[in-house]
Amino acid sequence: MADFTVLKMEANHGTQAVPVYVEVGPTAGKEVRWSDSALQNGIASAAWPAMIRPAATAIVSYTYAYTADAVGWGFISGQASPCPAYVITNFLWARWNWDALGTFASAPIFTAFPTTAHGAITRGDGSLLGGHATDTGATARSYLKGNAFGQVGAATLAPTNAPVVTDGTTGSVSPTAGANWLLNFQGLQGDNDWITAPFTPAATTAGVWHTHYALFVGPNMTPATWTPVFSLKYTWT
Amino acid sequence: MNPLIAAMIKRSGRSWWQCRYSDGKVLSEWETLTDKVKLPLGSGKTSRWEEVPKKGMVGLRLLCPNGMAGELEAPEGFRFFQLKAGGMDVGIGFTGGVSSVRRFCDAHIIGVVEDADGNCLCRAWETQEQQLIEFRDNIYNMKYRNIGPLSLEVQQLKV
Repeated sequence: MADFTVLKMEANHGTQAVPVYVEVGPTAGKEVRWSDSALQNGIASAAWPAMIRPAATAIVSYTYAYTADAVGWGFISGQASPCPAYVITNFLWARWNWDALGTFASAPIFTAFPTTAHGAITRGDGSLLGGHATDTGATARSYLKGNAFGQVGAATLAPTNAPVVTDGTTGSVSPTAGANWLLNFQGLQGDNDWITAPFTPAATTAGVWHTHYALFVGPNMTPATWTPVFSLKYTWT
Repeated sequence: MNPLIAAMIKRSGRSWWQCRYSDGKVLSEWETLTDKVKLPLGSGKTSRWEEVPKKGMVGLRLLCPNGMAGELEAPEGFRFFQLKAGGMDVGIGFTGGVSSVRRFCDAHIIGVVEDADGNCLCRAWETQEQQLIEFRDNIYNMKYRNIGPLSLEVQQLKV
């Protein structure tokens, strides 16, 4: 099939000034992790610390790019410890990267699912992606928020608004085509709430699509081991 | 169909497109592969639908690994399209990498545009369900699997 040979998500574990992108998936063993501790670089998965559910909603400040089970650095950390806390101005955060061998047949979609089975998500069920009406808004949004740049190529400025726990819009949202982000973050909630690129990338042309994401927790999130997946849904010829 | 080709399609485990032209010529997806061996074997290397001549195309088939085939017909006029819908997953969490993260193909779709409003008739081979389905949709906002608008340029559609 006329699919891409290389299509991957990359995270910046360099700096905002000098980005260094490393693959965080889909190759097995690579992944994104979150923690409320800034000192979790190079930690084997079996030793990854649990988080205490907070008394009030809060962003999970530290995001890590793991390229092997015990090999990982914080996003925008410069491969140094401690991991910097999340700030919106670190906008060279992550990107989808594809080669010149495939052709998109429509605009790609960025969302998240509970597992690779891509099952339906029940809005407001207290799960990480389902959200909870008390924490994430009357129309419960995912605790996982995403944003995306409006064109192919490196992002050139930061999103206007920082993510908040109630961000989200039912169905699809797209940034205005061009050098800008979504004004507000979208809840990444499977086939309920997602981001659609405002473009179909050029045929047989390598490119990158910059994305940004943030995770929140809240007092009504169901305690569990949450291991969802980011998904890039796309079509090809 | 040649029984050997039919057996290869079944063994490949995937669906293949085949188009028909007004002059009687038939072009099969495996003939457009970049592999040296141009037969419906395995997943097949890149074939470029966007480079397939659309002029004179009057029929498009989907040959499925269960032996079924779906065919769409229309007068000449750049009305046919073909695409695969799928994606890729990236693990989140402290699992040492979700073992089953992958790239995947959910469906192989063929379609024909029926009017200037973009309404279309489609057939799709759904890879998980292993079934051939038929549905109506619209190329300006495909509801099927939330695909959204198709790229008319890529498909060379003239509506």
